[in-house]
Amino acid sequence: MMPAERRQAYGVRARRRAPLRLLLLALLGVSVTASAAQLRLGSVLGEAGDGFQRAERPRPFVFPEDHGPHPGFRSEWWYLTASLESPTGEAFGMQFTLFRQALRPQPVIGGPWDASQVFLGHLAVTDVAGGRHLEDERLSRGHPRLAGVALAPFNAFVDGWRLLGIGPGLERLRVDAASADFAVHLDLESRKPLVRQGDDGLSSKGPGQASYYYSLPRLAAVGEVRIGDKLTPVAGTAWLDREWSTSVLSDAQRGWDWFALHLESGADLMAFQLRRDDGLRDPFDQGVWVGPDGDTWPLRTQDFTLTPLRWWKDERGVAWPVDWALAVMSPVGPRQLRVEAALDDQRMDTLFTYWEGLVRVFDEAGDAIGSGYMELTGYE
Amino acid sequence: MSQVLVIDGVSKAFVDGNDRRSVLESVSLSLAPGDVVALQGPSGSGKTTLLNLVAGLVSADAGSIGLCAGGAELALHTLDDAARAAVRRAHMGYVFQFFNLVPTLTVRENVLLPLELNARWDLEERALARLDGLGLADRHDAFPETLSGGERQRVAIARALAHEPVLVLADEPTGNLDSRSAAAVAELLWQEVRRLGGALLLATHDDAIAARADRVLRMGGSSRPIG
Amino acid sequence: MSLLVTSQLRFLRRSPWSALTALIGMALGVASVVAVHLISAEVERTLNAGAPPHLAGLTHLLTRPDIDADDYFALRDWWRDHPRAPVRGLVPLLDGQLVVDGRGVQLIGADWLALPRGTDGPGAPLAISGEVLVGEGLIADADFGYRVGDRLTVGGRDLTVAGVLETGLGPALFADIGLAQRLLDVGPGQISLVGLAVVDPWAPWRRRLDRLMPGFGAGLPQPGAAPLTRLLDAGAGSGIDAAWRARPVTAERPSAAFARSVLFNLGALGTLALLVAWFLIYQVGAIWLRRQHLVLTRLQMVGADPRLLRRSFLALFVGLGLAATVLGGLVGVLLATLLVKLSSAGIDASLAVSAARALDPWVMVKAVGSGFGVCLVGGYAAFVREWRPAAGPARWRWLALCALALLVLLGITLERSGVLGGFLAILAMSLLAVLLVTPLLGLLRHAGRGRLLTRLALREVAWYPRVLDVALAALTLAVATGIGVGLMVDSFRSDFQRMLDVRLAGDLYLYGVGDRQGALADWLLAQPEVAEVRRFGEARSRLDGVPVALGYAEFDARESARYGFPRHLETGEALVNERLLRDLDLDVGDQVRGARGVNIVGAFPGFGDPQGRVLVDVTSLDRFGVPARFDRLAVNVRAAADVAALIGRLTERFPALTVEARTTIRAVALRIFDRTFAITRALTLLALLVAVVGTYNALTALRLNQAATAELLRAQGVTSAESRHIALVRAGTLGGVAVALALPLGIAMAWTLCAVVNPRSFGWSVALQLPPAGWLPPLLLGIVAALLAGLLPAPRERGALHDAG
Repeated sequence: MMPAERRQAYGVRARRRAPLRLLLLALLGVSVTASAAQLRLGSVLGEAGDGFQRAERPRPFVFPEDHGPHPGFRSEWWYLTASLESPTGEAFGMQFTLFRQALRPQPVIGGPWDASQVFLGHLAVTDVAGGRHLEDERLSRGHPRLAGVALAPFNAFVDGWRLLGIGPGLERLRVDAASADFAVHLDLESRKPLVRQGDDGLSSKGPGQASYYYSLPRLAAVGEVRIGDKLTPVAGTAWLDREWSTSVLSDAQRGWDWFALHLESGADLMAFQLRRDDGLRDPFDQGVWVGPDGDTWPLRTQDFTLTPLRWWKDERGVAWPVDWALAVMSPVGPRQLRVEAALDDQRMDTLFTYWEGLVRVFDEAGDAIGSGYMELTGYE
Repeated sequence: MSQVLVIDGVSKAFVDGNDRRSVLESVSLSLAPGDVVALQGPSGSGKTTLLNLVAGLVSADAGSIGLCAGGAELALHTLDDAARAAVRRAHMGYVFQFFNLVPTLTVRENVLLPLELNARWDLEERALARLDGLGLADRHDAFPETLSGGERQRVAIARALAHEPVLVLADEPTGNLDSRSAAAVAELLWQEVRRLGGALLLATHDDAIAARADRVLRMGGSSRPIG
Repeated sequence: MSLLVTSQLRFLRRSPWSALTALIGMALGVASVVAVHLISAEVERTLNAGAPPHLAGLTHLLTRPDIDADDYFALRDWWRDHPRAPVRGLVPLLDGQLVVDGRGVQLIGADWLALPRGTDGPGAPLAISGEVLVGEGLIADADFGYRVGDRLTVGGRDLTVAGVLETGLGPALFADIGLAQRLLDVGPGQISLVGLAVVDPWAPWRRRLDRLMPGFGAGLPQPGAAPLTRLLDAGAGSGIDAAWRARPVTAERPSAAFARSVLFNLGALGTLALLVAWFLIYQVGAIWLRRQHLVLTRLQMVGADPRLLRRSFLALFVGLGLAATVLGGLVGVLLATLLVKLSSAGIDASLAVSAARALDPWVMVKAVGSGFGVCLVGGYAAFVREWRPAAGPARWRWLALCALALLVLLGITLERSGVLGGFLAILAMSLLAVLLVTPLLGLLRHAGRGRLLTRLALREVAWYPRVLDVALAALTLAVATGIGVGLMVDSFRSDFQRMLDVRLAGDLYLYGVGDRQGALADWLLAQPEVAEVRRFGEARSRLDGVPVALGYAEFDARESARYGFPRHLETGEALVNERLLRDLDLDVGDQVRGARGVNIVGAFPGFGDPQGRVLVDVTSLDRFGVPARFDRLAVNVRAAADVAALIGRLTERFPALTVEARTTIRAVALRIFDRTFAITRALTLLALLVAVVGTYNALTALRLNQAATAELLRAQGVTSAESRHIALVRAGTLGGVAVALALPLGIAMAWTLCAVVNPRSFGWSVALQLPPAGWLPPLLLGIVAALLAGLLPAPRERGALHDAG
């Protein structure tokens, strides 16, 4: 199944394209004063392959080292989403992401301030009952006291926000992140083995272009969410993505619609489609089905279809497809699922704009059978 | 010469775009001191134009206008605007049908205006006495807007005669008044002009007033003098 | 309806001159609205552009003894543990001196990524070069003479100039903090300051006001030190030690704070210029309507519905207004460009009205609002006013006069009414003057002296206030604005120079002296260039709970003189700034509460001091419980000394020292000021230009009104010279009345700005100066403008106004 694996890898990498590219915009937008000094994109990006390492062939992942940063690659992320519920049944969603972007390929020799890495943290909470989606972001240079990712214990942090490892590896984690209006404190414990995406962790994108990528598809989460002054105990299920790469995708795709769903049956489903300029189905659209015991089944383009059913229009007039029909050929047979946003407005109004939020999953009979996260990009 | 005013072969046409309209053609007329000449004719027959020519407010296309005043003979048609204005202010009085008085000057100030313009303060007493004689003794400090039509015309007469001009020009001085007031105002005008020994050239539609004139000059639609 | 339109259109065709003057008048009104906005925006832009990049968005600078990076991280961790603290950002800053190409240069290092983002702060976003972020590039001040891409060798390192900014700091380089530490050869733990941005609760209002009239937002209170004090006090209990001292960023750049205050005042007076423009547009409508009056009455007499008449008039007027909006918008941009160029001639100013700025939606809104909206409202008001007989407005007028007078009184006396109160007072006094126009004209109604022709002309002015009052009000406001601006600017300038002299008594200032001040002073005195070294120290203290800066020095008579005090300070004597007097409700002669036996013997304005300041002789310090610790030195050099060489040797010997030369500071400060002042002339000229057009329109209307009288006078033998005399008397009377009202109004405006608005918004008062150079030119210009308007030939048009009779 080599081609399928490759396609899957391509797609997974692709869905992170916008954050990667837009992280650069974050740097462009560093607020200082008026006029003058212009960013030279080339000097930040480096010219293509300009000294950065590239993902070219499968390699054995070495843990816990590979949980940490790979500064020789241009970009990298630690991406955590969770669907949560309070004891009284109120639903919450949570996103915590740490992006790393290298400003230059070689580490700078000097003091701690001389880090050549920039970190961007995104934090969001969806309060379904309250009809609120809150988001915040933090941007910082890499510095032992400010932002970075350390090992033993694992600690991915940016300016006061932390994703902490308890014990070796990523099997047990803690999220501690507070903003002025909301905060998240969660303990996470992985319930399924780590999934190496693509060809044993190498996500090929095309000739000579690939990323390294793995996921923890299901983590049990328990903790509390604070919104305003109100503290709510919550529990639920989370998904963690790890990926690093150097190459940048072509601009042939407009954006993508990505889903990571936790079903009550114990199975987890990830699927995405790329939206191309020519409007055709992209042959790299795909997903993965993870069985309750952790077995994986790749989903090829022809194994599923995604059809938007309803759009939400934001105040800028941008229409976001928030309800979907997902037809999928699963290992247990064909399924007709319906995926609905728990709240229409879960737009991330950050340095770059995208939609990332809690969704509910319904089966053919209309019964709720799961929840998860959806990411929509390229709609502006 | 013993004439106050000699008009000889005066012509005037107005040009409106490409349209040239002859108003007066070869008009001749003379007035001796004490003469009262009435100009009669339909609207547009050139009565007002003739008065304005004599006053020097417009200039003639042809012909001559001579005024004998202050012992000098003045050829009005040869003078420029400024000189004509000087002649007008010194030797002529003008009474209109409407807008006879300066609204922002009192009755007294209106009457004294010609004296100031001519620096003839020696005539002040007589001018004010004439005003009283015209029945306006108690209205000296009134502004024109408070006066009746008849009163306004009486003030206008007093003003026109204040500097004791040799020639008084009147353009429908009673046209705005009822017949009784008209007769009274005309009578006053006559009396005062005669008393000063001046000449009066007046345009009127009123046959009764025209009948009292020494002569009537009838001006026709063709703008030719008839009488 | 169609016949109505026909009659309106025919009127338009038959009176092209009326239509043209109306169009020109309105277009000029719109143009001045656009131009004033653009000019103010341009001044604001240059002020913002002059900001040093490392201070962008910051409100305060924090220091503490022996500061290092751990202190910064402790503060930052504390902030991040308290996400609701009213703080927007914390930035580590390092500054020091370098010698580059034989010149002393200030090097400033910052963690650029830590600067506050978003629109809450005063700064606009700047893209910091990636080269600077990775520590391979520098940003250079424009004064330094380098261009982007130039190579620069600093301390043996080859670096690139990645950006050039006009920072107002003189020769300065900006680097990433890591690079700055290496260039200054200090460890990674070394920083000099922590930049702080506190939340500005006024930010949204500031933005809105600035959009409405650029510069206005500066009048709102600056984010104060109160949230910061709370932050530090709260932090003191949780491991943050209380030794932090804060000073506002504005204190770093007193000239910029000062210029901002001037800009704010300009914004205020620009609003009055706006009022003048609106008056003009209204007046054009009223006059034009008056010329149509006969047509309209005739139409009404034959039975046309007055509402229909009003609608057809408004349609025509608004159509004219739309044409004027387009024309005025274009002319406004040209006018702004021209005036800015004219007024900045000879100054090396980079002022230019950019196309993008001209297309700012707010400019459009204001232009369309003035052209279209004011036309609609003004046209309607003119119609209503013209159609209704003037029935007893006297009582209403007196009521309004009393209300306005009360508003003036309250706005000035009630300190709590703040800046808004001050401005309402100015607006109220302007309207008061406008309301006084007609009664003042009424005094001429019975003018009973002088030549009859003069009397006649005087009375004409008095008798037709409806024709003239709006123009007169506009002229009055324009002249008053000119006087107000002139006096305010003159007062500002003289105070500003005084401030520079007070602040910059030394030729060189040395900061970061620390414990080496003794050695440094000895070394300095041994240099041939140095004539004198004076020591200064400053401590943070609290009096009655109010944080104050306690400055100390050897206060001999010369030091006292800098603060306008005639003799040396004894032990137990203090000089305080005005802000402190207000904050603590004290007066000269009072005891300073919170200190043992310290008397206030004098007060000084303290421009740019956003907090209370107490100055004492060093011998009084123990009464405040503060140890003497000099941290600044002022150096006076001998005449003709080579200051650059001295700075070079100084920074080589004491690398961590911050050196500021007076000439640099002064030159930069004055340059910013000259630019700002230059614009005031443009604003004054513009308002007067608009007023001249208004006066011309009004006088023309009067002349047409009086056409019958003119004919009558001509029949009486009144010569053209005498007619000109009448015209001149009318115009002169207008000018005279305008000036008679404008002089006191202008002085009152200037006084209110200097003594009421400024203390409330900026914490210092400006001593009002009344030099003839400030008030005479606008006065003369006003009279000349009126006479000019009177002498310009009246348009010849077939009698649209009155019956031929």
